[in-house]
Amino acid sequence: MRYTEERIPSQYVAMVFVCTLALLMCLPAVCDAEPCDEAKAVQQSAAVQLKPEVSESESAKVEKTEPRPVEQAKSEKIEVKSEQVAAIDMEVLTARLKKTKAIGLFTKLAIRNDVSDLMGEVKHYRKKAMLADKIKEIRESFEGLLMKIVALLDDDPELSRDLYVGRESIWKSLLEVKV
Amino acid sequence: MKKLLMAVLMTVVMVPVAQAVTMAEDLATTIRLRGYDCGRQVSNISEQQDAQGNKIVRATCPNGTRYQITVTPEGRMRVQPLN
Repeated sequence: MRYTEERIPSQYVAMVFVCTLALLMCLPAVCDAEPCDEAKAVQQSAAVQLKPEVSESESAKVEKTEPRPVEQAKSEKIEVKSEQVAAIDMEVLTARLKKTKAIGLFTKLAIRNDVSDLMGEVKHYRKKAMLADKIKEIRESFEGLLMKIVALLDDDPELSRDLYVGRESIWKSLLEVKV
Repeated sequence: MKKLLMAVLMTVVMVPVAQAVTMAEDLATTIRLRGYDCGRQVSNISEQQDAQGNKIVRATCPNGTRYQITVTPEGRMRVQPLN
Protein backbone atom coordinates (compact mmCIF):
# COMPACT_ATOMS: atom_id res chain seq x y z
CA MET A 1 0.00 0.00 0.00
CA ARG A 2 2.77 2.30 0.95
CA TYR A 3 4.63 1.31 -2.23
CA THR A 4 1.70 2.31 -4.48
CA GLU A 5 1.29 5.61 -2.70
CA GLU A 6 4.87 6.50 -3.58
CA ARG A 7 4.57 5.32 -7.20
CA ILE A 8 1.44 7.33 -8.14
CA PRO A 9 2.87 10.79 -7.39
CA SER A 10 6.01 10.09 -9.45
CA GLN A 11 3.90 9.12 -12.48
CA TYR A 12 1.79 12.21 -11.97
CA VAL A 13 4.93 14.31 -11.73
CA ALA A 14 6.23 12.82 -14.99
CA MET A 15 2.94 13.55 -16.76
CA VAL A 16 2.88 17.14 -15.56
CA PHE A 17 6.48 17.58 -16.66
CA VAL A 18 5.77 16.18 -20.13
CA CYS A 19 2.71 18.44 -20.48
CA THR A 20 4.73 21.50 -19.41
CA LEU A 21 7.47 20.63 -21.90
CA ALA A 22 4.91 20.18 -24.68
CA LEU A 23 3.37 23.56 -23.85
CA LEU A 24 6.75 25.27 -23.83
CA MET A 25 7.68 23.66 -27.14
CA CYS A 26 4.44 24.92 -28.68
CA LEU A 27 5.14 28.48 -27.50
CA PRO A 28 7.67 29.41 -30.25
CA ALA A 29 5.25 28.13 -32.90
CA VAL A 30 2.57 30.45 -31.53
CA CYS A 31 5.07 33.32 -31.43
CA ASP A 32 6.10 32.62 -35.05
CA ALA A 33 2.47 32.70 -36.12
CA GLU A 34 1.96 36.18 -34.66
CA PRO A 35 3.92 38.14 -37.30
CA CYS A 36 1.53 36.89 -39.99
CA ASP A 37 -1.40 38.46 -38.18
CA GLU A 38 0.63 41.55 -37.50
CA ALA A 39 1.66 41.79 -41.13
CA LYS A 40 -2.03 41.88 -42.01
CA ALA A 41 -2.53 44.56 -39.41
CA VAL A 42 0.39 46.49 -40.89
CA GLN A 43 -1.08 46.23 -44.36
CA GLN A 44 -4.43 47.39 -43.03
CA SER A 45 -2.90 50.28 -41.13
CA ALA A 46 -0.81 51.21 -44.18
CA ALA A 47 -3.96 51.16 -46.26
CA VAL A 48 -5.63 53.35 -43.68
CA GLN A 49 -2.66 55.73 -43.80
CA LEU A 50 -2.77 55.88 -47.56
CA LYS A 51 -6.50 56.45 -47.66
CA PRO A 52 -6.44 60.15 -46.73
CA GLU A 53 -4.18 60.93 -49.72
CA VAL A 54 -6.75 59.47 -52.09
CA SER A 55 -9.69 60.96 -50.29
CA GLU A 56 -8.10 64.42 -50.26
CA SER A 57 -8.84 64.89 -53.93
CA GLU A 58 -12.37 63.67 -53.40
CA SER A 59 -12.83 65.91 -50.41
CA ALA A 60 -11.44 68.81 -52.45
CA LYS A 61 -14.23 68.27 -54.94
CA VAL A 62 -16.77 68.33 -52.14
CA GLU A 63 -15.21 71.43 -50.64
CA LYS A 64 -15.71 73.31 -53.88
CA THR A 65 -19.46 72.96 -53.47
CA GLU A 66 -19.72 72.87 -49.68
CA PRO A 67 -16.85 74.36 -47.66
CA ARG A 68 -16.43 72.62 -44.28
CA PRO A 69 -14.07 74.65 -42.07
CA VAL A 70 -14.57 72.38 -39.03
CA GLU A 71 -13.47 69.27 -40.94
CA GLN A 72 -10.52 71.14 -42.44
CA ALA A 73 -9.37 72.23 -39.02
CA LYS A 74 -9.74 68.67 -37.77
CA SER A 75 -7.67 67.23 -40.63
CA GLU A 76 -4.98 69.89 -40.07
CA LYS A 77 -4.85 68.99 -36.40
CA ILE A 78 -4.50 65.30 -37.28
CA GLU A 79 -1.69 66.06 -39.76
CA VAL A 80 0.22 68.14 -37.19
CA LYS A 81 -0.26 65.41 -34.58
CA SER A 82 0.96 62.67 -36.94
CA GLU A 83 4.05 64.74 -37.84
CA GLN A 84 4.86 65.18 -34.14
CA VAL A 85 4.39 61.44 -33.53
CA ALA A 86 6.66 60.63 -36.49
CA ALA A 87 9.34 63.01 -35.18
CA ILE A 88 9.28 61.36 -31.77
CA ASP A 89 9.22 57.92 -33.30
CA MET A 90 12.48 58.43 -35.19
CA GLU A 91 14.54 58.81 -32.02
CA VAL A 92 12.66 56.05 -30.27
CA LEU A 93 12.99 53.73 -33.27
CA THR A 94 16.75 54.26 -33.41
CA ALA A 95 17.07 53.53 -29.70
CA ARG A 96 14.89 50.43 -30.02
CA LEU A 97 16.92 49.19 -32.97
CA LYS A 98 20.10 49.58 -30.92
CA LYS A 99 18.58 47.77 -27.95
CA THR A 100 16.79 44.91 -29.70
CA LYS A 101 18.03 41.39 -29.06
CA ALA A 102 16.49 40.03 -32.25
CA ILE A 103 19.69 40.79 -34.15
CA GLY A 104 23.30 40.53 -33.08
CA LEU A 105 26.05 43.10 -32.76
CA PHE A 106 27.70 42.36 -36.12
CA THR A 107 24.36 42.58 -37.91
CA LYS A 108 23.63 45.92 -36.24
CA LEU A 109 27.03 47.18 -37.33
CA ALA A 110 26.40 46.04 -40.91
CA ILE A 111 23.02 47.80 -40.91
CA ARG A 112 24.60 50.98 -39.51
CA ASN A 113 27.20 50.85 -42.30
CA ASP A 114 24.46 50.49 -44.92
CA VAL A 115 22.46 53.38 -43.45
CA SER A 116 25.49 55.67 -43.29
CA ASP A 117 26.36 54.70 -46.90
CA LEU A 118 22.85 55.68 -47.97
CA MET A 119 23.10 58.95 -46.06
CA GLY A 120 26.46 59.59 -47.70
CA GLU A 121 24.88 59.01 -51.09
CA VAL A 122 22.14 61.55 -50.32
CA LYS A 123 24.76 64.08 -49.16
CA HIS A 124 26.91 63.46 -52.24
CA TYR A 125 24.07 63.95 -54.74
CA ARG A 126 22.74 66.98 -52.88
CA LYS A 127 26.17 68.58 -52.98
CA LYS A 128 26.28 68.10 -56.75
CA ALA A 129 22.64 69.24 -57.09
CA MET A 130 21.76 65.87 -58.60
CA LEU A 131 19.45 64.65 -55.84
CA ALA A 132 16.29 65.17 -57.91
CA ASP A 133 17.69 63.02 -60.73
CA LYS A 134 18.83 60.22 -58.44
CA ILE A 135 15.92 60.30 -56.01
CA LYS A 136 14.26 57.24 -57.57
CA GLU A 137 17.42 55.12 -57.27
CA ILE A 138 18.03 56.25 -53.70
CA ARG A 139 14.42 55.51 -52.79
CA GLU A 140 14.79 51.99 -54.21
CA SER A 141 17.97 51.42 -52.18
CA PHE A 142 16.17 52.75 -49.11
CA GLU A 143 13.19 50.44 -49.62
CA GLY A 144 15.53 47.48 -50.13
CA LEU A 145 17.46 48.25 -46.96
CA LEU A 146 14.29 48.77 -44.95
CA MET A 147 12.87 45.46 -46.16
CA LYS A 148 16.11 43.74 -45.18
CA ILE A 149 15.93 45.21 -41.67
CA VAL A 150 12.23 44.37 -41.33
CA ALA A 151 12.95 40.78 -42.37
CA LEU A 152 15.85 40.52 -39.94
CA LEU A 153 13.65 41.68 -37.06
CA ASP A 154 11.49 38.58 -37.25
CA ASP A 155 11.93 37.98 -33.50
CA ASP A 156 10.93 41.57 -32.65
CA PRO A 157 7.64 41.90 -34.56
CA GLU A 158 6.63 45.14 -32.82
CA LEU A 159 9.77 46.98 -33.90
CA SER A 160 9.54 45.41 -37.35
CA ARG A 161 5.95 46.65 -37.74
CA ASP A 162 6.78 50.13 -36.43
CA LEU A 163 9.68 50.45 -38.88
CA TYR A 164 7.47 49.37 -41.76
CA VAL A 165 4.62 51.69 -40.78
CA GLY A 166 7.00 54.61 -40.20
CA ARG A 167 8.94 54.16 -43.44
CA GLU A 168 7.64 57.42 -44.93
CA SER A 169 8.81 59.47 -41.96
CA ILE A 170 12.15 57.62 -42.01
CA TRP A 171 12.51 58.46 -45.71
CA LYS A 172 11.68 62.12 -45.01
CA SER A 173 14.23 62.30 -42.22
CA LEU A 174 16.83 60.71 -44.53
CA LEU A 175 16.22 63.43 -47.08
CA GLU A 176 16.62 66.07 -44.37
CA VAL A 177 20.27 65.08 -43.89
CA LYS A 178 22.42 68.20 -43.86
CA VAL A 179 25.31 68.52 -46.31
CA MET B 1 7.94 17.51 -6.28
CA LYS B 2 11.27 19.23 -5.83
CA LYS B 3 12.57 17.55 -8.97
CA LEU B 4 9.53 18.70 -10.95
CA LEU B 5 9.96 22.28 -9.81
CA MET B 6 13.65 22.16 -10.71
CA ALA B 7 12.88 20.73 -14.14
CA VAL B 8 10.21 23.35 -14.89
CA LEU B 9 12.48 26.14 -13.63
CA MET B 10 15.36 24.94 -15.79
CA THR B 11 13.12 24.68 -18.85
CA VAL B 12 11.75 28.18 -18.31
CA VAL B 13 15.25 29.57 -17.85
CA MET B 14 16.61 27.75 -20.89
CA VAL B 15 13.87 28.82 -23.34
CA PRO B 16 14.86 32.55 -23.60
CA VAL B 17 18.55 31.56 -23.92
CA ALA B 18 17.70 29.36 -26.89
CA GLN B 19 15.89 32.27 -28.57
CA ALA B 20 18.74 34.76 -28.17
CA VAL B 21 20.96 35.36 -31.21
CA THR B 22 24.25 33.49 -30.94
CA MET B 23 27.49 34.79 -32.42
CA ALA B 24 27.40 31.99 -35.01
CA GLU B 25 23.95 33.14 -36.18
CA ASP B 26 24.95 36.80 -36.01
CA LEU B 27 28.01 36.26 -38.21
CA ALA B 28 26.02 34.15 -40.69
CA THR B 29 23.42 36.94 -40.96
CA THR B 30 26.18 39.52 -41.48
CA ILE B 31 27.73 37.43 -44.27
CA ARG B 32 24.32 37.02 -45.93
CA LEU B 33 23.68 40.78 -45.62
CA ARG B 34 26.81 41.39 -47.68
CA GLY B 35 25.38 39.22 -50.47
CA TYR B 36 27.29 35.99 -49.85
CA ASP B 37 25.66 32.60 -49.64
CA CYS B 38 25.69 31.26 -46.08
CA GLY B 39 23.38 29.12 -44.00
CA ARG B 40 21.84 29.92 -40.64
CA GLN B 41 24.99 29.43 -38.58
CA VAL B 42 28.74 29.54 -39.07
CA SER B 43 31.35 27.36 -37.39
CA ASN B 44 35.08 27.47 -36.53
CA ILE B 45 34.95 31.08 -35.35
CA SER B 46 38.30 32.72 -34.62
CA GLU B 47 38.85 36.28 -33.43
CA GLN B 48 41.99 38.41 -33.43
CA GLN B 49 43.12 42.02 -33.55
CA ASP B 50 45.76 43.38 -35.93
CA ALA B 51 48.31 46.16 -35.39
CA GLN B 52 45.96 48.83 -36.84
CA GLY B 53 43.32 48.01 -34.25
CA ASN B 54 41.05 46.17 -36.69
CA LYS B 55 39.03 43.33 -35.26
CA ILE B 56 39.31 40.30 -37.53
CA VAL B 57 36.81 37.47 -37.25
CA ARG B 58 37.05 34.35 -39.39
CA ALA B 59 34.23 31.84 -39.71
CA THR B 60 33.15 28.98 -41.95
CA CYS B 61 29.71 28.77 -43.54
CA PRO B 62 27.87 25.41 -43.81
CA ASN B 63 28.82 25.25 -47.53
CA GLY B 64 32.50 25.17 -46.52
CA THR B 65 33.44 28.70 -47.56
CA ARG B 66 35.53 30.54 -44.99
CA TYR B 67 34.97 34.28 -44.61
CA GLN B 68 36.90 37.06 -42.97
CA ILE B 69 34.96 39.88 -41.33
CA THR B 70 37.07 42.96 -40.63
CA VAL B 71 35.79 45.70 -38.35
CA THR B 72 37.82 48.91 -38.32
CA PRO B 73 38.12 51.08 -35.19
CA GLU B 74 35.76 53.57 -36.92
CA GLY B 75 33.08 50.88 -37.11
CA ARG B 76 33.34 50.10 -40.83
CA MET B 77 32.79 46.46 -41.69
CA ARG B 78 34.15 44.43 -44.61
CA VAL B 79 33.32 40.82 -45.44
CA GLN B 80 35.53 38.85 -47.81
CA PRO B 81 35.70 35.16 -48.75
CA LEU B 82 39.03 33.48 -48.02
CA ASN B 83 38.83 30.44 -50.31
